[in-house]
Amino acid sequence: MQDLLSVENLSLKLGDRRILSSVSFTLERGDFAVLCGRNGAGKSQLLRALKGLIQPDSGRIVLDGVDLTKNRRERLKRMALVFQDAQLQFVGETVEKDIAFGPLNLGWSREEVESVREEVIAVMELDKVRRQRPASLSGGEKRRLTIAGVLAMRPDIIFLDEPFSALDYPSTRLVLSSLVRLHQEGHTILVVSHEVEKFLRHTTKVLIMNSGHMCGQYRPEESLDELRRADVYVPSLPLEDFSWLQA
Amino acid sequence: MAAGMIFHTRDLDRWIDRCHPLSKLALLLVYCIAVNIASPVYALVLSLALAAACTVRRIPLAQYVHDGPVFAVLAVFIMASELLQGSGIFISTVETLRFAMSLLASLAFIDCTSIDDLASALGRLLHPVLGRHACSFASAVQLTLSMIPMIFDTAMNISQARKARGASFLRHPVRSTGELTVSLVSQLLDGVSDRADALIARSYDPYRLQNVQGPGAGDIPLLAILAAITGGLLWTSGL
Repeated sequence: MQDLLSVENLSLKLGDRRILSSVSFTLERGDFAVLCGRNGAGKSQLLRALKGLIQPDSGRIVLDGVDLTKNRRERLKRMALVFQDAQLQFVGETVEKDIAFGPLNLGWSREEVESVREEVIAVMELDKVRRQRPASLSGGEKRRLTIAGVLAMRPDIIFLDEPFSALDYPSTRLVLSSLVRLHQEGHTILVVSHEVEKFLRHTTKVLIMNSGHMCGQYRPEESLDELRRADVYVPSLPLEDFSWLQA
Repeated sequence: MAAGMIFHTRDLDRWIDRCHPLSKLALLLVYCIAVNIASPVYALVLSLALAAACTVRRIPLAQYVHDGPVFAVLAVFIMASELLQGSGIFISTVETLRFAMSLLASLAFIDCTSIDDLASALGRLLHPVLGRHACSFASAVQLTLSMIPMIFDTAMNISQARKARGASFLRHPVRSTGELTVSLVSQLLDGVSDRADALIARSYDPYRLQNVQGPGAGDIPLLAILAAITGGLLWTSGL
């Protein structure tokens, strides 16, 4: 399969601190990848650099065969990032308005915006709360709204930073099933998470980072020992059981 | 409290919800001026009309009173000060009513008008004069208002965290105020920086002219009400 995203030797320094050191990896179209590593490994900053919120010092970011390292605007448009803190991302007064915010910024017509909004509301199962204020939603609904907000911009890739943080079991399952459905529909997804046991079975690729370096990219079935070596909690279970959707 | 009251729009998709935000703003301004300068009898008529409109709309008044008890206290203050001035019970009641009706009209306005739509409409209105600065003005209004819940939440979290660790505001009020302010500003700056990233991530452009539906036939009854209130005011004041 053709690489959708190719990251080559990406390096980033913030002040005196080296955050990323020659990070390289690839994502194929339709991949559902998980990026693991200890706190401070540089995972969140890598997502921000890819998205275009921080400009890397060196390296290349190639999307669909086109070098977008210098084209921040295009990266902002074509790669979506769901931040760890859902609350900070809400801009619209209601769920509907928040979803429409991104497409309106892209200058789409009213008809296009309404069409994509309805589609995303259906996919993320937000119909019952469409007229509510984002702040009044439950944790799981908030997280699904943040995903809906970026999904509405029809990105090539969706990055999610710790999508299960502070969610209870039912909400985690709801968000997880939404992600699995998006993957089945052909979306390319990269999730930063410490909780691989919740969804490793559904992923197609595992990336492991340590101290700003990419240790490697593995198929899920060959990643278990590597994850343990990287101090990521991995229960002693067969890979088929690594999913919270099974219970 | 303020966050709850400002962001209380209920889009019920009725006639008034579909009217242009600036028509509703004009009606609110005219109503508040009229109810505050009208004769007591006309002020009473205007009050009854608004009360009837709010009843039909089923404004969640109990919730507003719960969210903003300070306004109830203010009303009591006005009544008491009028009585102390020797204005008599009728005049005191009318003066309190003027205040209460201005407040109720504002709540009714917020109930049916999205602040986002109002800011966008203001931006579009001012655009021919101020150009792209009108758009940035509208964006500034929207963003500032969207920050209010964050400010309240942050202040509440800091205050509770301090209490949980045994800090007492009353014991050291000056020192506590300083510490609270430093924590609040520092956390808000972090929050604002993250919010800015989130906006950039969704291709936000403060200079973009936002789409707002223009005034339509639905605004005619609203403008007729505005004219009727003005006419009534002129007639009752003998002009």
